[in-house]
Amino acid sequence: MGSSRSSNGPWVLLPVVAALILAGLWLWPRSDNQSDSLVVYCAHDQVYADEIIREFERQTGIHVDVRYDTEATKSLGLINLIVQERRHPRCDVFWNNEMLGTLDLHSRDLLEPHQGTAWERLPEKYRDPQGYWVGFGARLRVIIVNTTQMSTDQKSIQSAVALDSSRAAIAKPLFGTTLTHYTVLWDAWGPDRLKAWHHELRLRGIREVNGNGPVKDVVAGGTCGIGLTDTDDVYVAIDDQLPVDMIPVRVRIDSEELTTSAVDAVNKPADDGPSLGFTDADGTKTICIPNTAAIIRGTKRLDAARKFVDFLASAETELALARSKSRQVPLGPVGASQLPPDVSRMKEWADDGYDLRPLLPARRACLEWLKSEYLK
Amino acid sequence: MSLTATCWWTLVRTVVLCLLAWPVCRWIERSFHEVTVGSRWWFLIALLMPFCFPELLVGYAFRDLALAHPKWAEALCSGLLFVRIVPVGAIALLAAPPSAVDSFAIHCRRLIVRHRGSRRDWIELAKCYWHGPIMRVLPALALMSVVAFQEFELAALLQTLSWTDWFVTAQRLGLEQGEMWRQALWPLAWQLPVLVGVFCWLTAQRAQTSDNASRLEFANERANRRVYWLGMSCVVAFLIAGCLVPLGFIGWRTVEGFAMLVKQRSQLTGLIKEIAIAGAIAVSAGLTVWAISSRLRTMTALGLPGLFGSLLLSLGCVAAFQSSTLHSLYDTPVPWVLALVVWLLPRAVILRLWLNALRNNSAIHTAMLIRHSGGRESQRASSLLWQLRDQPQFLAVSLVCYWAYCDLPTAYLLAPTGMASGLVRLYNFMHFGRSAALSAEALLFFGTPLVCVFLLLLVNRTAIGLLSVRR
Repeated sequence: MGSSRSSNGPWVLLPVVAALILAGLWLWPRSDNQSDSLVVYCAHDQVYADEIIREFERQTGIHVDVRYDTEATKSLGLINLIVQERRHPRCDVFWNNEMLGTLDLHSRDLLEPHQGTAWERLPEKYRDPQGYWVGFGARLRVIIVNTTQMSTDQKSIQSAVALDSSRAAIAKPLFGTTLTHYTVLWDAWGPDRLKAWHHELRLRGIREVNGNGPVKDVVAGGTCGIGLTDTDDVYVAIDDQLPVDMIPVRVRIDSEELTTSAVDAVNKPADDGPSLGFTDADGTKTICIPNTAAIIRGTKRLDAARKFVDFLASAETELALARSKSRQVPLGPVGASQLPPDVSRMKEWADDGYDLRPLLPARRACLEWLKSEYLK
Repeated sequence: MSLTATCWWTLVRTVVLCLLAWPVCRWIERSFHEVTVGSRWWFLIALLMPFCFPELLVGYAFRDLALAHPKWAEALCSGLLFVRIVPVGAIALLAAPPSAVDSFAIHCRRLIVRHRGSRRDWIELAKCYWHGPIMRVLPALALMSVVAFQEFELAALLQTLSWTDWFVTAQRLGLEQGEMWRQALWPLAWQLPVLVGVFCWLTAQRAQTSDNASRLEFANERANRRVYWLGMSCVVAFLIAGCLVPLGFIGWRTVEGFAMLVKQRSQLTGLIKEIAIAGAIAVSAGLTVWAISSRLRTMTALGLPGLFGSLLLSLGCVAAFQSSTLHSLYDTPVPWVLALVVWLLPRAVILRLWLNALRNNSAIHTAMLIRHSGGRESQRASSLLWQLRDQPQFLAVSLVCYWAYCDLPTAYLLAPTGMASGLVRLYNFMHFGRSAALSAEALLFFGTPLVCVFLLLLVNRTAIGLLSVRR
């Protein structure tokens, strides 16, 4: 050990060099008037969001610094970060890829209202009455099917799940749109039925993976025959010319269905039970999950934040999202002829979307239950 | 599953892997002593490669396999982890001082026990083992267990159980800070015996006063040919499994990926910026930690928090810098660099010890004398000094910087706004599955620092050569 001291001379200068590098790095982006950059926390996939944000920069000249979340913990990580930073907010605008988390932030009084052009063009179902958030470009929960293993109809799917649930895949429902899916079922079925259904599927060996992307992968790769995921993930597989197709998840909303035992529903799929929480009979709703944009309370760049929110929920951005590889469904008025055929089909499904606005209490209760299931 | 259960699972995996790794480390150590002196650097490079190869790339390469065969995911993860911890154990053994009690002394003590067999003789024999082989092996086991227990990226990408993944999930779900620290006590408690082991090692290193160069020459247990070939086979097998196979998985569509990347100018520009940011942070942290580690005596205790792993340190930094006292520094690179420095300090200390063990002091001293003599040979002596003393240090600093460059938890949790490391984006995209463009980006991100180090070495060698010719 003592010998190490003999050659220490030059090394004591290293922290000085390091400090200079650090200072240069920190000051460099601020030298060209970028200290007023708009800070956006974005839960939407970076691969799709980047282009939209760069277009905003091109049009307005406002520089945007974006912080993305990881795929495995979509949106929830950023929501918690916003809550943790409430005393000294760093984020100006939150672009969430789902809605219930944004409602949660609103309930904590962390959002700033803005009734701009975007708010005016959107239907009531997809905006806050006071303008605390707006919804745009939606995805749907769907059942992805490997077409080499079964046909894309409800009967085949229900039979397959009933025979071998390990051939079905789902993301862990702690995060993202799978959490929204569970929240909808919590609301539509009631907690007891959802819990029974969930336990039954786990007992029967359903594949639980870390996100909707891996659900798509195991189905497209043939490890599983079906899975619950989002439309944008399915289109990644379709674009890669993998043998998959999809049908929307539908949730029955009539009260009689609530009395059906979930266990029976799984064990006797041929009757009328939703073996994966879906059915395509009348009186059902799809799960249509919009992106949401909201301004964070305490922002120092209110004007830029408003411009960004108006840009995000504009017809132009909705069309761009619809034409992107994620094929997101416009929620405001856009020319039907301008939509790609894939999106036109999904728009019909989206019109049947479950109303997510009253679901915040259900989400909280459902999440508490899920935490006890997965973390305790 | 609860944190306690995941801790137990991780602990069992760690113990099994370390026990399996121990004999392999011994084979490799013995093989090293059989290798000719000139080939030892190559041997060490081959040995270290699987540990230095970015964990994220390994996880990315094997992710699809684990998804397709979930029942084998744990075995796959454990196997890959084994490949990563053996180099750590072998290097620790190589850097460790010779056993304080040699095999001859133990043999004598066993004869006494066999002859008399009193209780006191048994205790003496146990003491011999404790102060001899066990004390020598303990640090290697301790370091291996730290690496195995703190595993994060591999477990997350291969979707196997680990307490680190549990922690990230719980933290993302809004675990309260007080609750977080209470929960963190569990993994900290698991690692406490390990910390004691490492501390013992550092103490033993301090007590070592003999010429460092003799440390690698003791070789009192010459390897037989079978052990030599076993050790060599392990090094080659680990190099293949830990580096070449992942490179093969990723690299086979790289040309296509690079072509796509070149067409997407904005993506390429963004990636280059991210590489620059991650590189600058890594160099800052690496240089600082290397300078601090030179004060080994006083820094031993400061290095201990680094053994808790970058994940816990990052979570701690987030909590600390969100407090009102330190908040002004929250959205700056300071927390990021600080966490990296604390995390890397034990590694830097170990690297220094290892360099000291390898260093040929008498040759360095002779070269220094020749250089100061001012004669014709002075420049050649400078070149020799670079090779003997400075180049190993340069490579060690580069390695420390590369570890900083490749660390995901710090980059993910502590990067200030507008200074995202490409690592986080690659990690995100890797969850979508493998693609040609992503493979190309990953190779570019992880390969750029290696190319820079190589170029710097080349430039230095050329400069020394030119100066020699001029003289």
